[in-house]
Amino acid sequence: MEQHSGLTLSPTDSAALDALLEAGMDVARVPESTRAAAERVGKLLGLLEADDIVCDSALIDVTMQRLVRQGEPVLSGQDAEALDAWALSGYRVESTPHALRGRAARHEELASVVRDVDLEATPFLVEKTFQAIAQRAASDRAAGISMPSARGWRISDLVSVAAMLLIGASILWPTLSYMGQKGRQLSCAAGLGSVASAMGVYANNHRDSLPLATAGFGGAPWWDVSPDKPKANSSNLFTLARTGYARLRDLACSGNPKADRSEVKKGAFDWSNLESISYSYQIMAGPARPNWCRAAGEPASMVVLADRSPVVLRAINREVIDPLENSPNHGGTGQYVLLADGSVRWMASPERANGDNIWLPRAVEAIIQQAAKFHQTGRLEGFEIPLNEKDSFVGP
Amino acid sequence: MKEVTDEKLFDLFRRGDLGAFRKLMERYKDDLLRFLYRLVGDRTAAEDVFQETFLQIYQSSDTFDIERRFRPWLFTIAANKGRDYLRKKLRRQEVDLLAPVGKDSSDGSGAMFVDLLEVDVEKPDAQMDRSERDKLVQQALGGLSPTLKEILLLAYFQRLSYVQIAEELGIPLGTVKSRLHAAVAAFAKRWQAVSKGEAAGA
Repeated sequence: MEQHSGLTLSPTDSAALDALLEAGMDVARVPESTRAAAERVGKLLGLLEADDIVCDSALIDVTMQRLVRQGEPVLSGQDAEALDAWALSGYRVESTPHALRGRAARHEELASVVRDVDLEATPFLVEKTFQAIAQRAASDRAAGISMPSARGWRISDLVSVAAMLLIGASILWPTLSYMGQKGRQLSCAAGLGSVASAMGVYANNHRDSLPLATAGFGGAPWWDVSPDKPKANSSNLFTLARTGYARLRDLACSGNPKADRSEVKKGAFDWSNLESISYSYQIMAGPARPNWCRAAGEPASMVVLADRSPVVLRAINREVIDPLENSPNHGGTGQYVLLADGSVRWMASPERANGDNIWLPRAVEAIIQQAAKFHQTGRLEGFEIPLNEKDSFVGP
Repeated sequence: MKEVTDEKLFDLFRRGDLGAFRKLMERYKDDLLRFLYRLVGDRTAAEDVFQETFLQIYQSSDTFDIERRFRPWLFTIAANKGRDYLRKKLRRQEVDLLAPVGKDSSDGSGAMFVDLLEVDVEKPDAQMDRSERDKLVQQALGGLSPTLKEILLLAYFQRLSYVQIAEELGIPLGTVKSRLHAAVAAFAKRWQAVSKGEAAGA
């Protein structure tokens, strides 16, 4: 016989147990000679019965955890129960059953350690996030994806409500502050900001290139606007509207009473006429074309877009030009410009701090300077191109 | 004056009021960033996931049922984004995964029972330097799988009920329970180890 513990039943009790088992554990069926012993053995076995013990789900859970997660830590039964009670009570320790409250409090302390984070979101993060959403909305529109939530939005809404002039990586708080102090027309600045947003999205999709339809103007002046084909420099800016990155109303300045705010006509490559164009764009003729964001953060970043040039308007009409004349968009008080780093600035004079006149290419600036010595006049013919990619020179 | 509910703001946003969206973002920016910081482990990544979360909110705006609560939806999306980030990071093997703490088994069965009463839990205002504690918490959380970390943080930060977690994560109630138990146990064990290590090293 296999010995398990070194203890064995007496022969009488052993015989009684056998008889009891044979009788199906029914003492009454056990032969009378061994019934007394069988009754005693039966009582002893009765001690092993546990009908009133119910295997609860927590035990099953813990057992399952042990089976499944061998080697992984497992909460003790009471901690598991306390966790459930704590969660069930809406994570209120005082609402947990008294017996579990101490352990529920431990859970709360552990959670507090995790929740205690000394971190706050910066305004920049919010603005950046908003900008990303604005760009996504613009991209979706450009790709013809209709976002139901954005049906009623305009890019200008996105930009003006969110981060009016926060474009790309550039922070424009100083600019906003300056404009606020001066009481300038924020709506116009926001409009230009929205153009910047669209331009940023375009650049993202075109290897940082600025919008371009043509770099050669077929022997005609770059101010010869023709809606049917990309002839004038303005057709480059028009690309934003033609390809869905912006709408014409986004490219319309409130300072231009003749600005075109209609929908883009099918097959159009440019505005219908010069007067309806609100902004002057960097002349994209020649090999020296600036890229978007190339000079981010640099004070001397390129001007790529400005309120419409008064110089070009006069040159077209063969009038004498004043290189220091301001845009008519704001009554001659100055002009908003968009830099290649995405920021928008107000310039009280078309001449930048580095001496670059945004209405003229360097060559003409030089001629004018030279001519001034001899009381002659400089001319602009519409064929001039920027000297290099650092020469801001805008026109329709 | 009664504050406009999240759900009302979201409804306004869907009608084109971007200002309402901004209010929601302002309302949850700190909580969400802290949640994500704990989830992904560093601020830069948390900010990236923060942006992705709101972009996803924007993109999924039409799918949101305004009869439901906005907050759990927001944090569940954030948790999903954070989990995606962690998985990508794991695939790139940029994470130095902590070896499971305490491989030894107290009863030899392979399982380790955690008794919270034996775990030293300092209150946030206790003497341990806050930044040091923060580092240890991140270290302890870093050893958890993305799945465990996600459920732990949803419970700890969002106080979501088991039913809510089940609904938001789309998993059975029983799984929520067992997964959260496992997450708490794993975190407690790792916290015990890292904080003891800190004390020993002090």
